[in-house]
Amino acid sequence: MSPLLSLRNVSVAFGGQPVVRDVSFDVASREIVGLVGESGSGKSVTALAILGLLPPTAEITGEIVFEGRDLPALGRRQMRRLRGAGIGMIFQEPMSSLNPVFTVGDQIIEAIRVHQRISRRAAADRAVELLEKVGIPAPRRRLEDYPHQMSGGMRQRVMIAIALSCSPRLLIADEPTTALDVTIQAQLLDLLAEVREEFGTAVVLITHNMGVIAEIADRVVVMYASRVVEEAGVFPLFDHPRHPYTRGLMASTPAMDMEAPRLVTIPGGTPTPGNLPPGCNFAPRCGYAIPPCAEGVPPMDAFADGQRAACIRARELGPAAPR
Amino acid sequence: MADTLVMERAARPARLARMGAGLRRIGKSRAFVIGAVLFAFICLAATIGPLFTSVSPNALAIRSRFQPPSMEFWLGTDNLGRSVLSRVLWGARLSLGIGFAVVLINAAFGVLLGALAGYYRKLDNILMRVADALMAFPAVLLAIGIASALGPSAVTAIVALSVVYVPRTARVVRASVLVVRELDYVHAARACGATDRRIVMKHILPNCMAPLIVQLSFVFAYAILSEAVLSFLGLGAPPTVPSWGVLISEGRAYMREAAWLTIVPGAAIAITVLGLNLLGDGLRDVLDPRMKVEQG
Repeated sequence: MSPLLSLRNVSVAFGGQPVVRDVSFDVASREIVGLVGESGSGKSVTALAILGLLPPTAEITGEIVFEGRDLPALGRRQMRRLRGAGIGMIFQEPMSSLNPVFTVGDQIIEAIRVHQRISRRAAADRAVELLEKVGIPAPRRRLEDYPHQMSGGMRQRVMIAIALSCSPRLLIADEPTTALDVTIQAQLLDLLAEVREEFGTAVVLITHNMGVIAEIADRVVVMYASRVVEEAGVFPLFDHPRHPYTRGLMASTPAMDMEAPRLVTIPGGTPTPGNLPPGCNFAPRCGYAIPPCAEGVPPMDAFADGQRAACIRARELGPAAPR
Repeated sequence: MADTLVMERAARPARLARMGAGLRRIGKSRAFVIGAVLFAFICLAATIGPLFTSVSPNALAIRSRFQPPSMEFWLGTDNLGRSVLSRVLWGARLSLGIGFAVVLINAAFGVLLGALAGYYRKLDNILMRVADALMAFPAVLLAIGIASALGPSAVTAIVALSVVYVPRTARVVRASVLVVRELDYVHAARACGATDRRIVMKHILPNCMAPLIVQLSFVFAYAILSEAVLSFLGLGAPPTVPSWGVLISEGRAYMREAAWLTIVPGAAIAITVLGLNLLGDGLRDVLDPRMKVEQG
């Protein structure tokens, strides 16, 4: 079966300065793919590129194929029709993602009517249904609320309801839980998993939180300094990461049963887009780096179990031992 | 169905309560209350005042020329024996009417041009350079120039004052649009597939209303003042129509003998402009609480 969404060698540059390079990955339908990386690794730009929401100054190359259509080649009108109806998006800040001067009901109804020609009344009924689905109590009454009358968790639920309003096949969630506290985070992740079960929606979940990934992702794409460094199913990735960066990430995630006196860190900091080292981006911070690492960008190496890692020493080092 | 009814019944008091809270907040601003009272007084005078004056503003009574204010003529009479009270009240209609027309045109074109400039960045340069050019002239000078080119009439005054003030309003709208267009909910709307028009109409403009309302209250005040200037110079309302500027212009020759001829319409202008300015200040305090904090 062909994937729902497929990125092939996607690069994005601003004013000749690349911020995303050669990114390739697939999302199958009903699949939850985690896109992980530090701030500035290019994960959000990748998401915006998929939706065609980058400013016109961005230079996008490569193929972004959604349901057989190459998105960058679509016209403005076609792209607009696809947004919301084919691909929905949830943003990071629930506090500011709703228009303060309209009730949440108005906003959900509006989102429905952007893509479907139905009456206000029918749209209102659908809005109630959606709010119920995303777990908002007394949805009829809540339609009349203004965003400031709701908590952050509830607003994020409303955002999810809006994103779901046109039954998109793919949902892009850009750090949907970062602004929320931990218990609400867990509830929302459960909600996203339910959405996938019930509506069959595929999800691209962008986060820097490994815990969130472990919770619901099926497959993980790890980005570092504008490139994909490793891609694997969630179990192989947590079980035996192959790229030294992913190993570092795993080692620096505190575990409940860990008795380490200090958190392990990766030495150094992420290079800025203008200042990338030659060869492997991660080499200067990598404990396993050897001179050839600086000579060329390491190619993606595919392993038998479908895991892929961009490291010339991945094979030689073997899978990291489980912790 | 029953569910909908319940919802509506519950929603109505909530909405009323919100409106009540808003009114209370506005009531706390003393500037707003004083301004509103003054302006309401003038508006009332303009609308129902002429109904109570039995004397026509143009009724000549040569025998009672230059009567000082008295029981018969509350605000005296002019050089042709016409009732100043009656003329000021009729003048209020004209002056407020011109002011209101300018405000409406400002609201329409200011919002349109401001939204276009703020949202479509390519248009911004063109529109704003034209606005800069218009704003480089002193307001009254430009109005005088346009009015004298078009010939004196009330419509001329409206056109001239609109040309002067629309760029200023457009700037205010553009500035707010520039801020609001980068907010998350605008990006969210775009990600939902909303059209540009819908984004501007539903998400950007409603959130730009506060500064616009304040700006329009000031435009109203300036328009009345400038209209008086134009009429005074003979470029606004024709002398047969008793606008406030015309009244002052006519009374100017008799300032020593009959000061009330200039004082009364002058006071009318002063009260209106003061009222509108206080109203605008008060609205700004209420609509933009941050400003108040900064002031102390």
